[in-house]
Amino acid sequence: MSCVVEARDLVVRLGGRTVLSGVNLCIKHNSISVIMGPSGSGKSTLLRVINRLIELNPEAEVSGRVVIMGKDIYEWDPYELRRYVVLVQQEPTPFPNLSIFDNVALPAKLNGVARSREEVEKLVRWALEKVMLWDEVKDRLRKPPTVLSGGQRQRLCIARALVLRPEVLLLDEPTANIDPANTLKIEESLKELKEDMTIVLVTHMPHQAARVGDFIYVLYNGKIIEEGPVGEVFLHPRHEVTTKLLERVL
Amino acid sequence: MGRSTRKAINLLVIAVIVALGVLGLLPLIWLLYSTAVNGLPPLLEKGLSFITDLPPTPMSTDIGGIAPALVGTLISSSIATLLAVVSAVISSLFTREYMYSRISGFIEAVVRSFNGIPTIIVSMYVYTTVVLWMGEPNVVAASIALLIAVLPTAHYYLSSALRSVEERYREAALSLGFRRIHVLRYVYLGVARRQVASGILMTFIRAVGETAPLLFTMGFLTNSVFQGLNRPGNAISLLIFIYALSPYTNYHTVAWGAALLLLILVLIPVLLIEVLVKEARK
Repeated sequence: MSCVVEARDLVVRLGGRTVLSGVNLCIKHNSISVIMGPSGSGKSTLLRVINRLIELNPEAEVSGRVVIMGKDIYEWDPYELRRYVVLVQQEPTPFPNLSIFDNVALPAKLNGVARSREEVEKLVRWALEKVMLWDEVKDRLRKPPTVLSGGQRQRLCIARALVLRPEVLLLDEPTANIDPANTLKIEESLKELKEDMTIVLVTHMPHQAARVGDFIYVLYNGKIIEEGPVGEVFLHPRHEVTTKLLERVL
Repeated sequence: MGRSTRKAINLLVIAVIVALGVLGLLPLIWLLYSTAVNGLPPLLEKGLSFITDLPPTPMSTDIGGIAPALVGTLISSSIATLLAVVSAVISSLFTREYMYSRISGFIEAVVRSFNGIPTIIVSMYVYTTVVLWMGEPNVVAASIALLIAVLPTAHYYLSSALRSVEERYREAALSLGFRRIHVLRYVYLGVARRQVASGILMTFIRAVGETAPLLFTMGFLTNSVFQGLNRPGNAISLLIFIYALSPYTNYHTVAWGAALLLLILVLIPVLLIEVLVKEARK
C-alpha cells in the first residue's frame, strides 16, 4: 500500500525547543492510524505540520519533508491542502454565530464542494448522518450550536469536516472531553468513514486505539519509538514507554 | 468582635460605598438635569420644526431651528464613521493576523500617537491642506478632520472586537480550508459581530460629539439646510459653541435645545450598545 501521508526526517522546533525530532512515518490509504504518546510528546504538533497549521506559529521552525498524496506540502496551496487534509480539534469549536445547518454547509460552499441549494442540503444531511447526528438535530437545524451537548458539538465539528470530502481526516483527541455514549458514536462513525478516507487519530485512550486503530505510532520526546499494526504492538510492545502507555501509567 | 459590631461595620462600609457612588454620579445627573431643563422648552415650543427650520436671526422673536446643523452633523459624522470603520477593519485585521510583526507594532504606535493629538491641531492641519486647496470650508474637509479624530477610536474598538474572538475559532476555520478573507467575514466579523457593531456606534458617537476638528473646516451654514459636500456646512456641536458665545438670548435658547438634541443623538447609540453587549454576554 502506498502512503497518503509520508514524513521523512521531520524536525520541528518551537521557540528554540525541539518538539519533533527526526520523525519518519507512512500513513496508509483507507486506514485509521493512531498516534499515542504522553502529554508534550509532539502528537498535536505532528498533526499541525501535516496540514500546515503550524505556520500560524511564528516561532515554529520545520525541516525535513512531508509528502501528501505524492506532493510535498510546500508545493500545495495551504488553503487547498487544508481542504483535503482537514483537522478536527480536541475542543469542539462550532461557530456560535452560525446555525447548526450553516456550520456544516459553510465549508462546503466556500470550498466549492457543493453549489446549488439541493446539493448543499444533501451533503449536510449525508455528513450529519455519517456522524449519527441527523436524527438528533433534524428538527432544529436553524438553531445555534449552543443548544447541543459537548459530544454533539464535537460530532457537528466532524460533520463539518466531512462535507469537504477530505482525503485525510486528522483528529486531535476528539473524544477527550465527551461522554462514553458520544465517544462510541464517534468511533462507530470513524470505522465506517475509513472506507472513504484516511484517518489519523491522536488519542490518550489505549482502549480507543484498540477498538478503532489499524496502525499505531508511539511518540515519545518527539520521536516515534514504536510503530506497527495495533494488534501486534498491543500484544508485543517492545518499548517500556509503550507498555506504560498501554497500561495508562503515562 | 461580636456579630452585631460586624453587622454595623458592614452596613457602614456599604453606606460609604453607596454615598461615594452617588457622589461620582452627581455631576452626570446634574449635567443631564440642566440640559433637560434648559433644552426642553425650545424643543417643546417648536416641536418637529426645531429640526426642520433654519436658525434664527439675532434678536428675532422666533427661535427657528437647527436643520443645517443636524444635517451637517449626520452627513459629516456618517462619512467619517464609514471611512474610519473601513480603515480600522483593515488595520485591526492586520494587527490581529500578524500580531507579532513589526508592521503591526508600527500601526499600533501610530494609532496611539494619533489618539494623543489635540483635535484642534487636526482642524488646523486639514484647514491648511484641504480647505485652502478647495477654496473654502466645506463638508468634505470637516469629514476628513473628523475621520482623523475618530480613527484611533475606531481602531481601538474594532481591534478589541477582533481580539475577543478566540484563537480556536480562527484555527478551526483555517483547518477547514477557509481563506483569510473568509476568516474575516465569517469568523471575526461573525463571531464578534455585536462587539463590531458596538465599535461602529462608539465611533459614530465620538464623531457626532466632536467640535474642535470642525472649527476651521466646516464653515457655518445658516441660510440653507445643505448646499453640497464641497460647500460650507454646519454641525450641532459647532452651533452650540458659536451660539453659546454669542450675546443674543435667542441664540442661547437654540444652543440649549441643540445640546439636548445632541445628547439624545448620543444616548440612542449608547442604549443600543447596552443591548448589543447584553446580547453578546448571553
